[in-house]
Amino acid sequence: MDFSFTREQLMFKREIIRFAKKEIVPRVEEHELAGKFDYESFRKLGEFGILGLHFPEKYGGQGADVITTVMAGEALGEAGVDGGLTLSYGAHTFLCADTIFQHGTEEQRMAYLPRLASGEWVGCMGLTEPDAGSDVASMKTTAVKKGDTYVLNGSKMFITNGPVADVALIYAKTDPEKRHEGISAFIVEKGTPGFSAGQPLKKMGCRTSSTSELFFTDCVIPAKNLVGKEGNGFLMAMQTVEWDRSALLAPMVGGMKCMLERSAEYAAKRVQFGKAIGEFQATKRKLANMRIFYEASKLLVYRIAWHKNQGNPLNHLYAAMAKLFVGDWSLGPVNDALLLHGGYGYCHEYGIERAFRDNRLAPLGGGTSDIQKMIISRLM
Amino acid sequence: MDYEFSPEELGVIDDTGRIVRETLSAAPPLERLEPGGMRDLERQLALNLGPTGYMEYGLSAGKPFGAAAMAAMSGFAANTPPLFIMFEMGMRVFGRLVAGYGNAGQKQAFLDPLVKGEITAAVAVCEKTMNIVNDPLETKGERDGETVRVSGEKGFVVSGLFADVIAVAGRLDDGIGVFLIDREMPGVKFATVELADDYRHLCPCKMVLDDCVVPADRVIGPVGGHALLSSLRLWEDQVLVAAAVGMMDAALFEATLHAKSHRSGGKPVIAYQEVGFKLAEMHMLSETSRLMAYKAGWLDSKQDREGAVFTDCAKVFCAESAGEVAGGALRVLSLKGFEPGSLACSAYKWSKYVQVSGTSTEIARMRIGDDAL
Ligand SMILES: Cc1cc2nc3c(=O)[nH]c(=O)nc-3n(C[C@H](O)[C@H](O)[C@H](O)COP(=O)(O)OP(=O)(O)OC[C@H]3O[C@@H](n4cnc5c(N)ncnc54)[C@H](O)[C@@H]3O)c2cc1C
Repeated sequence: MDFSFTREQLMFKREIIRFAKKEIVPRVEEHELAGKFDYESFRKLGEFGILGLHFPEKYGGQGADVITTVMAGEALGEAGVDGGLTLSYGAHTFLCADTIFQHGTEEQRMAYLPRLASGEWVGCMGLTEPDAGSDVASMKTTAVKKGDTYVLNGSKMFITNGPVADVALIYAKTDPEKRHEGISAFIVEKGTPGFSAGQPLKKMGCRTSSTSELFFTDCVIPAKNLVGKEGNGFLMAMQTVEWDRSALLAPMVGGMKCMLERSAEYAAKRVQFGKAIGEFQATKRKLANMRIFYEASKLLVYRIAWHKNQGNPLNHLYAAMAKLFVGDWSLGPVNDALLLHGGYGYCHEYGIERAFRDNRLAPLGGGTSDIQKMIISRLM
Repeated sequence: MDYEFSPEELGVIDDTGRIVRETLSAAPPLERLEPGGMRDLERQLALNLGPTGYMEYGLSAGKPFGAAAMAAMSGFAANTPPLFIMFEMGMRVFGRLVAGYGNAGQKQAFLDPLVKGEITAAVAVCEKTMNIVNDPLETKGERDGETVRVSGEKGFVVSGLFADVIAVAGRLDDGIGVFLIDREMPGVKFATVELADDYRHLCPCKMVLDDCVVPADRVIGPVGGHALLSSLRLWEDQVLVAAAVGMMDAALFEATLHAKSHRSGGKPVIAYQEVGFKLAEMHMLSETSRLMAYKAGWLDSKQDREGAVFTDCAKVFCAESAGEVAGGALRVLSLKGFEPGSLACSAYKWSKYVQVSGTSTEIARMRIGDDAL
């Protein structure tokens, strides 16, 4: 066993932290308060190479390995980038672009990946529906083949980047009689007649990521926009789980490190009863809880990254455990960080209440904690 | 980065669990063993485990302590938490002390016999309280020509009731020394420490040293500063972390088996979310603990300065998780968990010991907090 990172990986991480602290973090508060997607920060991520880090160069990427790619997400969190932007990045890069990369034709890859990797275009992924969340196989959106087109009807719910996306990867039933085996994936471009996005939803956290419903009313797309084979959609969606449980969780791991550092700094400076609050055991306990969570979640998340990097098949047990742990166990330490900051923690300026709110998506998005428990108990 | 063990390491891990099981099944139950019987069992275990290389982790120069050691140790602990804790707190911690701080003669005199099960050992550190962080050691050695005269009291020495040789920590000159004391040496008295229940399997004792004359070749150190005591505490904590992981494995195994086979309302109880989800959470905790334990071991093998604070994190997480998992297992097992021989019941009791022993979870948290500051 070896839990070390290479020198290059660590140097790259430091570079990302430096970049994000300088270019992104100063813009967070304004956009978070306004609840607005920050195009400029997103494009900066693209310019820096983060949006397509693991894609080969010919698709606009840098050919990075999985661990480096996951580390980039951790670095963004550690720098203090908000959960909204990292969620947008995750949905764009891993749920949308990566699926095109993994399963798309060469024509599809060349058409979309360079623009997605650079941040010129924003991507989204639509799986969830108003009446099909945890039970995705009960989705109602259909794609009916007509000649060399597919006609889409239905709607998608809670779609990250929905209102700002130039391209959407949409899962729809090509065989409504079937459950998982009836699902296929399609590329739908913004502006396609019959396709529209709802108003951005007002959310508790991750407010700089724009989330909305997507509507499909007799939306005609070319048949060549089918990604992979008909009926393989669910399998393709499941393949994103590895990224979902590594790269999308990594910013939360890094975010905990950021909170620990900010909390320690605050605890050293804030004086009550004549001494720094860091001298009180109750404060040390909170800091310890943050550190323990950080260490444990990091191990779980990088385990998935390492296996993916090795080309090993997805271990559903490991994936579900990482998601469950980050989702359920982060509440305590995030709350500790909030309480440690006292009234300031409740106010916007320290970014702690924002992190608290952002964090609450962890046990929900991409599969709830209950669903992770269901997976684990079935595999036991 | 590598999240897998080598085939050779996997061999040691598998062999350890198997050999411990075989050795235990050939021995009388622990309840029937007096300290002398415990001593024989410990020696037999060392002898049987010798060929696997298990005993060498951290003791032999070519075999640093590491993640594989943690894995093998937790496999041992899963079978018998009390025997594991007793064995490791004595044999391995003693061995690492000699390997890490002893001179060539001491290494030659003790390490080989230890690995072959020819001698049993214990380590005596704690005095009036279990806490060596806030209270300085009162046991003291005074030089007297070629010898050192040691006086003091040790409050809780695991396997002290039978160990052939006991490493007694105390002040010496301006630092901390360790005196390797034979059971029969004049000036040493042992007294039983009465403990409830299974805890007595640890064979603990008090030690009173009254002007005990220790030859110079039986003295390790002195070592300045906190290094020696910190090493001892770290090694003890590693043992306790491995114990916690092993206990969780055992408790979870028993509870899962029961939940799959025990039927209620026409289906196995695991099919009820209240049971299945509880088991899932327990499984998550035990797996996360395992990774924490492995990393703590790995950091040790790298002599990484993060090792100490990380081990504190692992100690807190694993010890508390062991309590959660064992408690959850008892609920899933219901009355079955209270039957004699229940692994979950044993894990529950021993998880409490693991929480307070070594660096208590409270003190560990304070140290982690200090590190953050
Ligand atoms: C901010 C945000 C961004 C999102 N981004 C995207 C996106 O980009 N693309 C996308 O496709 N989706 C996205 N989602 C959707 C997300 O994946 C779903 O919200 C999630 O899968 C849960 O589905 P649901 O909300 O319909 O809840 P439900 O499935 O209705 O669940 C409600 C409750 O019931 C519980 N429950 C459900 N089934 C069971 C069961 N069998 N056993 C026990 N308990 C159960 C759940 O755990 C939960 O507590 C996003 C959601 C949010 C909030």
